[in-house]
Amino acid sequence: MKILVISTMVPFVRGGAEELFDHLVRNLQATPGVEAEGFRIPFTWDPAERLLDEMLIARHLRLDHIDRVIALKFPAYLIPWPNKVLWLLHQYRQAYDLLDAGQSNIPADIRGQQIIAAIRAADNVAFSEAVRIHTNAPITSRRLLHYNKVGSSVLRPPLNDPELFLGGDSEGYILATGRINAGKRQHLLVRALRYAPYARLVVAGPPDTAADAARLRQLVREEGVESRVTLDLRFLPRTELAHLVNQALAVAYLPFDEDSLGYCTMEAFQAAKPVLSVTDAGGVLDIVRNGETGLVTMPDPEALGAALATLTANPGRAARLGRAGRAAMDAEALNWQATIEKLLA
Amino acid sequence: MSGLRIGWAAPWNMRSAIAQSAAEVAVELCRQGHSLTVLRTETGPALDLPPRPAPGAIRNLVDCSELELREAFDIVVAHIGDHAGFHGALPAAMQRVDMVGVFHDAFIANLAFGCLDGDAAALRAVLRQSYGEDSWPVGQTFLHDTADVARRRPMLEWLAQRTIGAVAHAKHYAARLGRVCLGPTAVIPLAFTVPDLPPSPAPWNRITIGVVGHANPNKRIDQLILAIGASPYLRSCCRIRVIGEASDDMRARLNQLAQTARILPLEITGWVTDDELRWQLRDVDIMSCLRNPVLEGASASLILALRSGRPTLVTWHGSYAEVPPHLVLGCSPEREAYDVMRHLENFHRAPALLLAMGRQAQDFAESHYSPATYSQALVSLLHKALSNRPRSAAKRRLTTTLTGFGLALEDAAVTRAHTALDELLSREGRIVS
Repeated sequence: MKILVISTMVPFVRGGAEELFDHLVRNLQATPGVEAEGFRIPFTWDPAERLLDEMLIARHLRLDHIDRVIALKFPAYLIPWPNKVLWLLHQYRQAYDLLDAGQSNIPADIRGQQIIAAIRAADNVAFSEAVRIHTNAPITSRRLLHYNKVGSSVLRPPLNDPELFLGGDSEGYILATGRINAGKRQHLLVRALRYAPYARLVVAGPPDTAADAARLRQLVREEGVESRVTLDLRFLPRTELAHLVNQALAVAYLPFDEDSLGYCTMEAFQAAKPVLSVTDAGGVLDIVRNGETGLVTMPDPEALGAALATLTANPGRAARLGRAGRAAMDAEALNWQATIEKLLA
Repeated sequence: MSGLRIGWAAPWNMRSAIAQSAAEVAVELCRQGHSLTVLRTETGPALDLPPRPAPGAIRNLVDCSELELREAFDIVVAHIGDHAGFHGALPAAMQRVDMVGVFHDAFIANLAFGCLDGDAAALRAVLRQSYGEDSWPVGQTFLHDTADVARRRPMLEWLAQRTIGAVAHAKHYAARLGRVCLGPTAVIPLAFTVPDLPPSPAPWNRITIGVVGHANPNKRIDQLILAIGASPYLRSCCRIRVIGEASDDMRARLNQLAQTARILPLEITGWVTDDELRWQLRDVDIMSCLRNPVLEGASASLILALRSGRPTLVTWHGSYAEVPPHLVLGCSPEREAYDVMRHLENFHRAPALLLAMGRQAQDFAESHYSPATYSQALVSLLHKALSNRPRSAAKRRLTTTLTGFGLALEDAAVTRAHTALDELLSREGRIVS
């Protein structure tokens, strides 16, 4: 069976979706009787006007010699193919929920309305063509049902390399992993340090842009917390990342309305580390529960500072929360073999 | 240049003016060495009308399969007009097969309404693409008011977007075709001849004004009546002859108006044959080609009037304003009556000057509207459309995708896609060192 996995790529931007893509292809290739390849089309979302061009290009790509396509993201899932399964990680959220939340890059004028209508019309065509639609999280399924009236089943992505996240003794720092950008809100953690004078923070991950990195460095200087913050702003090899997680006291992950559990969360729990998150983090909160598997606060520096202080002052409690997190992950029973079976069904 | 195998999709009966023009060009095309098969576009009872003589085989378009049309012809030419009975087979065929469109009318809302069976959802889907959601206000009938329909939803783009080449018969709608047609476009003045027209009568004490064609409101016959009624010089000597049909309502309305204006009763002949037309024209002094709004691309009635050598009243807009101004009696749109009165009084005072104008117009019409000139220009366009065909097909695919997303035909994204394709193909064959 020949499987093509299709998705998008923003050159030199790498995050969870890219990890998932690579591991999906790799795990498909390791499946007996399956030949698999991955194909990613370049994607830029700015200016919004040109989204229409991106959609047109995707729609006109032609495939051949394939038994099944597994499509992950907008607009790659518009590529026509009769036997297409969607494992939906992303619609273009700025035409949907982020639009409603006032966080869209699409202009709020008549042209913007036309672009939004076009995106939704194209999505509906792609969804109607799919033989099956899985999503990566309940919130993605809810959104799909709400905006597109399309049903789907949730298929959470498993952790790609659980063997690296064995846990270990804490060295007392709070670790913030994942892509560095305004949406992931590492800046709130830096600001929170003024309310947690004994906490230490390590931020480790690739910035989306040079400006994102510069802003975070500037903030650390402005807050005068250079001695308590380590910024390792790059794409870390998996072993280095796992090492940092295994030695952390806790992992902080503050995305705005994340769809999925988030690799940062899963890696932390696999290593039995508690997760500090916020009340508007979306899908992350499906598994991070306040006082059970981590701490969940309001998304403001003061509340986050109090949580940082609590974890720093009570490493024993942090460890208990972390162990509960590991148990919650085990209960999800996420693994690649079961995932592949569902995608090939 | 070898002869083309042309599918000539047109109405082919004695009642359609478009059929007459198409027949004249068909003869000329065959004379130039092209082979031609007439594909009758009528549907319903109109298909039972006896066919005109043709210079090639005659088939019914509705009976031709897509494969036949593709294989039997190098190219199919579609003559498009605003009459669902005469052109009703075209829209479906144009969806299946590439055609060059000859747009005899700039307004084809009646054709669209008839072919889509008045289905509001289907009509709205077309409108959304071409004219926007608000072009047909909710609660209004589709063909509510001709002037409003012509302005907001003329439907020209509905079929023009399917063509791989397009002909306009006048400049006033050529740009609109150019914007949506997938291939080359050209303005070719309508070919129309009516041999053996009677000469202008010698001036005497009565002035007869002839109106040729169906007595629709847009022929502005009411303006003629008001003009004559308003002038004490004209009231007693002018009469209006409508050489064509009129509904009972229209007949009653015009006669009532004539009575109120205290002018002579109108003569309305009903439908006439070509021979009867010549007979009715024998004592006509002035032709009226007033039109408002302008619905047709170019006017066979205007060409007839010019070819007849008589002074001709026109409303000065659309194709009527594309005739050299010294050859016609121009009248301002919306206030035609005033200008008509002025021109008729001039004729009443000094007919010789205007009769000379009519003779000049006749010379102009004989060369400008000839089938030979028309067919040469058309064949040139057909060759361009053929060589451009792969590009047209690619544009059609791009357009179909984007309009499938709900975007309008003239959306910036459609233009960008077409421009990108044009730029790409303009470099075709260039050797890069």
